[in-house]
Amino acid sequence: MNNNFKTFFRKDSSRSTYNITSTIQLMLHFNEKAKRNPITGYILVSLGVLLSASSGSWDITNHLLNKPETFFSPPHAGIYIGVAIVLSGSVMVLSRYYRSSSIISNNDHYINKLIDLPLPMKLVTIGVVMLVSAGPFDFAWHSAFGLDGLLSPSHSVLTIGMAVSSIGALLGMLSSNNDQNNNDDNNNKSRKFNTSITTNSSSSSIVDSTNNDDNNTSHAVSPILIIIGIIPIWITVSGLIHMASLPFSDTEYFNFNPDPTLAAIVATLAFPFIVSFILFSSFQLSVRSRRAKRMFGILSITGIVFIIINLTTAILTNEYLVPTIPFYILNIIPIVAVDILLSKLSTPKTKIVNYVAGAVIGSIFFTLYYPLITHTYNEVLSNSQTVWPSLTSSIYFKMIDKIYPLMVIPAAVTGIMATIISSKLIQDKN
Amino acid sequence: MSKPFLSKAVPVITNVTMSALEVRLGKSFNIFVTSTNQGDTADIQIVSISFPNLTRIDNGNIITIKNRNFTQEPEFIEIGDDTGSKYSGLSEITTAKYPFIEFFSRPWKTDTIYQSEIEIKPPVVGKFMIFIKAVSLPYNNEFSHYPHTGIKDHQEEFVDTYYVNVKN
Repeated sequence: MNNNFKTFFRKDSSRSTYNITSTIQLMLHFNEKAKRNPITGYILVSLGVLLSASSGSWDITNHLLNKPETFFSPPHAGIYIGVAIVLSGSVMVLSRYYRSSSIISNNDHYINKLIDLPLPMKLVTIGVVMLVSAGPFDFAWHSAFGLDGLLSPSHSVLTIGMAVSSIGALLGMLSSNNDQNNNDDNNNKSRKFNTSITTNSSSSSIVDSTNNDDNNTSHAVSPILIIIGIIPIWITVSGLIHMASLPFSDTEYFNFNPDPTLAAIVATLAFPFIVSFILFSSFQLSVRSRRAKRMFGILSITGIVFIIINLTTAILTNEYLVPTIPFYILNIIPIVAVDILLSKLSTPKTKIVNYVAGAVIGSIFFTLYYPLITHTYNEVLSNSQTVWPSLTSSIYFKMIDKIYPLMVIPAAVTGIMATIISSKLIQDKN
Repeated sequence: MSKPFLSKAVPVITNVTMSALEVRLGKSFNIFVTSTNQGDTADIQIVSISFPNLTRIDNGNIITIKNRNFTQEPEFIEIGDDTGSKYSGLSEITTAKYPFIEFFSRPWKTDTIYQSEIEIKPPVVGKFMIFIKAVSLPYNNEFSHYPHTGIKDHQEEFVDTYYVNVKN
């Protein structure tokens, strides 16, 4: 386990967990640890976004089933609790930064303060401002135009805010973790640090310093952090793609539904890209962080976590889709196969292995984004019918023969492109 | 792969109770409608109550919903509004020739009972007609609607007819 987690969860002799008898004491304890440890704030931001975005997915299914809604419906509660967690995480990150920073004057304009922030904090701050402002914006939109669809200005602000803050949180976790490791190294002169992730006001990159010991994993980024950081990005960007492609945005005042053909093209290109980019990046990050040439497991776990979230929020919540759970779980097979392939054969010189991995991962998007994707492609079918909750699976399985053969090649190509871009972003920074 | 399960809901109007069969002009009467689903869970099941003698619903003056336990808000359709026809949902659109109220629940689970009570104050003397029907969606077969025979309304769907004599 990562040192920060050890620090956070270990039994402290001066503050034994047995002595914490109230929630307030526990929160104070938590806050005290967080003050000393910036990574905790970033973890909270990621977990908050994860809760909000997953609840958003659940909310879409709830609307499809059209169960009666109140403000306190479980999906809405999840969204708002998630936003509160993001907010608290960002406050922890920023307050710690300003307390420890001697560069920033209290007289600086807040714009200057924002510009001077390291990139991860900047992204988290921008994302949180968008998240918080989306609430009143959404209320105003509802008041003026009644019920809105999936794609609306206020929902866009909310989802983009979640995506931006989750990207900031991942970068922050990676940089904070290494900063912490570097601090540990400075305290232990006998050990030579071999890696650092530097973050400055304009960029964040993974940088290797002289490395004499490829197998040294003492400065590793915890695999848990990679998963916690990358999954919210995947979920929120997927949400943005759904917003741009699902036909759920025709309301009384506005019809924001995308053109069906354009929506199908967006889905066919964007979903394979994000699946391949996220899963391949999780593998790359795990390899880089562990200083190992081969690293099995993180890609698989990332994929499985995504499958579990979609299973929980979009399939289990619709009783008619429960019989299709075994079908959906089969998505694990290609993901694990690609993980094995990469961990056994991938090297910086064997790009063909990466391309094969990207093509395979990209081409599974059609099953990975079941059942919501049914609504997108149903619109372009010549004999399209209303996708009732009880008919979703039968319509989906009928369209596999017609749609999937047309999509598999562009999806594979886009998946390959995603691995190339991921490699550029992660490897070339070294 | 096994054939996907297809839901087959069976909507039934189990009871219609009128508080009076004859009323004086200016007085009101109540109609109490009970419906259930005797098949599989329906994605949507609608109970439609139409008023062919009315030119508008005039909610609160002519028609007042006294009670209902449906999961969704009722929809009021006025003359000239677009509405679905031939049990197609909204696939085949027609224009409403008289006003009606659609009570609906989604989903409507097996054997669940939903009821509505409406107070009606007929505006003119004569036979005040009321059409009642139930439809489940998605529409599968003749059991997806109730009644199965009889006269057809402006949506080309079967209805049960009820009336009250309105006298001076």
